[in-house]
Amino acid sequence: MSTNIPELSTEQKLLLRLYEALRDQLRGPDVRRINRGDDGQPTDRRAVRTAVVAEAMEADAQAPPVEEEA
Amino acid sequence: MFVQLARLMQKEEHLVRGGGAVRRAAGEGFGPLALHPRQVADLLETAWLDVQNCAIGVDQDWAVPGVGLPTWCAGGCGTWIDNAPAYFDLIHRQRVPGIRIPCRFDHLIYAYLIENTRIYEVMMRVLSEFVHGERLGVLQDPLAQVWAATTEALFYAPQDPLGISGLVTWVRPDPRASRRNAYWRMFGVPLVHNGPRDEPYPFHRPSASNTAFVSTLEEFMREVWRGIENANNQVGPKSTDDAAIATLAQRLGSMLRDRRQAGTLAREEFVHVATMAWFHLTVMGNSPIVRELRAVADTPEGRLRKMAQHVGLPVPVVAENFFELAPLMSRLLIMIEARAFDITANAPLLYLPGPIRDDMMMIISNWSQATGRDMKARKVVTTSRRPVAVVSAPSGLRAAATLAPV
Repeated sequence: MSTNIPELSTEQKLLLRLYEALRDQLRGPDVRRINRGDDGQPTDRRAVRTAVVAEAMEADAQAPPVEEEA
Repeated sequence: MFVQLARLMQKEEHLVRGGGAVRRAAGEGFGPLALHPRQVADLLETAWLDVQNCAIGVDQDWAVPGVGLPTWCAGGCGTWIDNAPAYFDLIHRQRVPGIRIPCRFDHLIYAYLIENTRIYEVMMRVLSEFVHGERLGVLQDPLAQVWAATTEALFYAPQDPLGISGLVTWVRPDPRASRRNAYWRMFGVPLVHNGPRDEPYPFHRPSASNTAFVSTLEEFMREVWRGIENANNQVGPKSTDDAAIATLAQRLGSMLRDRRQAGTLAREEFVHVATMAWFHLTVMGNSPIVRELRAVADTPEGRLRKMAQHVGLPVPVVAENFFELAPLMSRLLIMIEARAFDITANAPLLYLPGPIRDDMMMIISNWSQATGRDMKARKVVTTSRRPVAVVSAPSGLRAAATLAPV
C-alpha cells in the first residue's frame, strides 16, 4: 500500500475480509486442469506443448538435409 | 450455484461417487455437468434448503443476509427434500476463522449478465440440432450425451411446480418472459437481445420496478472512479466525494431491498441464477460438449461464439464483457445490498488499493465497453436559463436499449 493510505479501521478490515470470503465462496472451478496423462493425473498443457515442440525441433535437426534439385 | 458446486466437487474429487467418468469430470472442474438429471434436480432442492437454513438461523446476526425468503418458507420448507443426495456434503459453508459467512449464491445480476450473452438461445439451438437431426453429427462422448439430456430435461422443459425450479405454470408459461420480468423489476432493464425471431420480446413490465437502477449505478461508478483517480493525491484539489458514494450506495441498496420485501423474487433469483450458472459452467472451460462441438477456445466468449456459429446465431459483440462482469457485479451488489458502503467511512474501500478496488476497476472498464458509455468521464449536465424538468441522466429503459446492440 502507498504511504499516504490511511490505516484501515477495524470495521473496514472486517469488511475487506468479508469481501474476500464472499469472493472465495462464489468462485468457480479451476478449469485449466483439463489435460491428464495416462495415469489420470492432471498434466500441464504448456509443458506438454513445449515437449512436443522440442521433440519436433530435435527431429528436424536429425533429419537428413534435403537435396536441392539441380 | 453450479459454478460453486463444480469447484467444491473439484476440491473434494476423492469424495465424488458415480464412477470414473463423473470423478474425472469433477477433477476437470465440470462435475455437475456429468451427473444424472435426477441428481441435478435433487441438488437444486438441496441447495435451496441450504440457503433457507442460512437465512433462517445460522447467520441472522451478521450484516450480510443470505437471501430473504418468502414468508411461507420461514418455518422451513425442508419437507421438499427428503432424499438429499450424498453431494449435499459438498455444498458446505466455507468458513473463515473469526468471520461468519452466510451461504450465498450469486446475485440476480449474474443471471442477467450471463443471459445477455445470448447463451440460453444458443444452447437451445444446439440441442435442437442434436435432437432433430445429424447436421452437427452425433454426440459420441458419454459425458456430452449426459449434458444434453440434463440440459434439455431441466432447463428447456417445465418442472414439477411443487419443486423449487417449477416456475412454469399457466400463470407464467414462458420461462424467458419470467426471467425478463425479474430483471425488469430488479434492474429496470430488458435483455440486450431480442427473442428468437429478433422481435422485441413480450413480457410483463410492472410499475413496481427499479427503472432508475442503471443511471444510479453509473453515477456510483463515476464517483468511485473519481476516488480511484485521486487516491494517491497528496497535494492539490481532491474531488473524491465519500458522502456521494455512500449516498448512491444507499440508494442502490434501498432499490434492491424494496423488491425483496417478504422474500419476493428469492425463489426466482435462485432458479434463474442456477440456470445461467449451468450454461456459464458449460463454456467456462473446454467441457465435454464444447470439445464435441469443436468449439475449443481460450475464453468462455470464444467457446460460445464458435458454438453459435454452428447454429447460425449471432452473439453480442460485447459478450466477453458480460462474462467478465457477471461474477464481479454479483459480489458488488451483494455487498451494496448488505449496506456495506452505506456509511461515508467505508466508501474509501471502493477506491483505495485492495481487492474491492481491483474489482471496481474491472467493473468500470467492462461496463464502459459493454454500454459504450465511459464511466471514467465526468457526467455532462446540460443547463438552461429556464428551469426545466428534463434530467440528463438516462432512464433505465433508455440505458438498457443502448447496452449493446447485437
